[in-house]
Amino acid sequence: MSLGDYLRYLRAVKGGPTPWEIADATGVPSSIYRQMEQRYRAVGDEEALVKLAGYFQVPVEELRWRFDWPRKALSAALVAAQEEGRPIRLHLRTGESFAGRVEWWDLGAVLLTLADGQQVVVQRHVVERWET
Amino acid sequence: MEDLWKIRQRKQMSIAQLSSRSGVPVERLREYEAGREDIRTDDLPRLARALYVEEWEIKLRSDPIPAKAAAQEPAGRAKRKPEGRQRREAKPGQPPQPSAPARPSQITHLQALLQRLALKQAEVEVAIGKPFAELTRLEASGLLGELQRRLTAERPAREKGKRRRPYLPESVDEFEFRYLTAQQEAARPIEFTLFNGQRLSGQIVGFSPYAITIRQADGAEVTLQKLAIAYYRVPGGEVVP
Repeated sequence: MSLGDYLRYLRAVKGGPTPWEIADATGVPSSIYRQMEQRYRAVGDEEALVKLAGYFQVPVEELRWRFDWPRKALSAALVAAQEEGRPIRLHLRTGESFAGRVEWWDLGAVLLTLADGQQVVVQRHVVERWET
Repeated sequence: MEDLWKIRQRKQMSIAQLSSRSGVPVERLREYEAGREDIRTDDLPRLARALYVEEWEIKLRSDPIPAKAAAQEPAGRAKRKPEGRQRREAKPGQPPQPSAPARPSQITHLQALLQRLALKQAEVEVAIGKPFAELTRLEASGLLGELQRRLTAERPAREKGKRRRPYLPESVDEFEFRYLTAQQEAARPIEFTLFNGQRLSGQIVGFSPYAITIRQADGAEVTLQKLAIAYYRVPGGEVVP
């Protein structure tokens, strides 16, 4: 899970504070926070990571190692699976996993068609790891 | 902040569609868009949800829609026009501005294209008669176009419909938007599973980039924060586009 998706997850666990509320609490500007969550490239610095780790009450290392893992990794896996017609298995933080064909993916979600024909829209921020 | 009509047109939505999606009557929308009335506080969240934007992005009192923009009203789900940069015309009577130096991003782009074409920068600089550092913005733009055309000509044509999507997921949120729109229009019940394992079912009555409002079987409306949602699906295995 990339830093962006992990921050999104932490925000969900904390009850969904807005970037403005996070900015007020941490001093990390809301625009930077938003970019850290959404940008393709790594955004932010050590100071921001430390402040956010304190705010979300997680070890800073949990944020640090994800810093160099941009959202591109999951996107690339989704594109490859979609273009090559291979199923992808998404393991969720809830402990569940879904394997299926990628119909579409975007900023926040992925639509999979499962082997039994059912479709499920998985939110990207819940994907912990994946296999193709 | 933007005028209501500007956002609506950008989303390729007609007034009738916006009315249907938001529940705000067409006549009132016309009043809002003409700038004759401020958007009511109870209509603002409904419009923001329907347009998939934040409330603060909509100006409470729009500037009236210009005749030119009114003539380009989207007719429902019109095909999106290709977006291209418009060339800025010099104002009549004004001397042309001296061309600014090339942007660093243009030079970076040039170097990337050279690499893809297996060309050496020094050779290209000799061919064009000056180093990249001395290129004007216009010259860099022309050279970029030339190299891009060459790259296109040299690359084998992709099979139609096999266009590669850019790896820029943060720039795209329209797929889920379309999916939710289709579910809302079809009034299908959707089953949502939240992070905490809780499951809720209902028909979508509105959504924004951050939340989805559903009407449950007992008529109660619940707004789910997207961040709290793990996944959702149409029960019964119905495949939808």
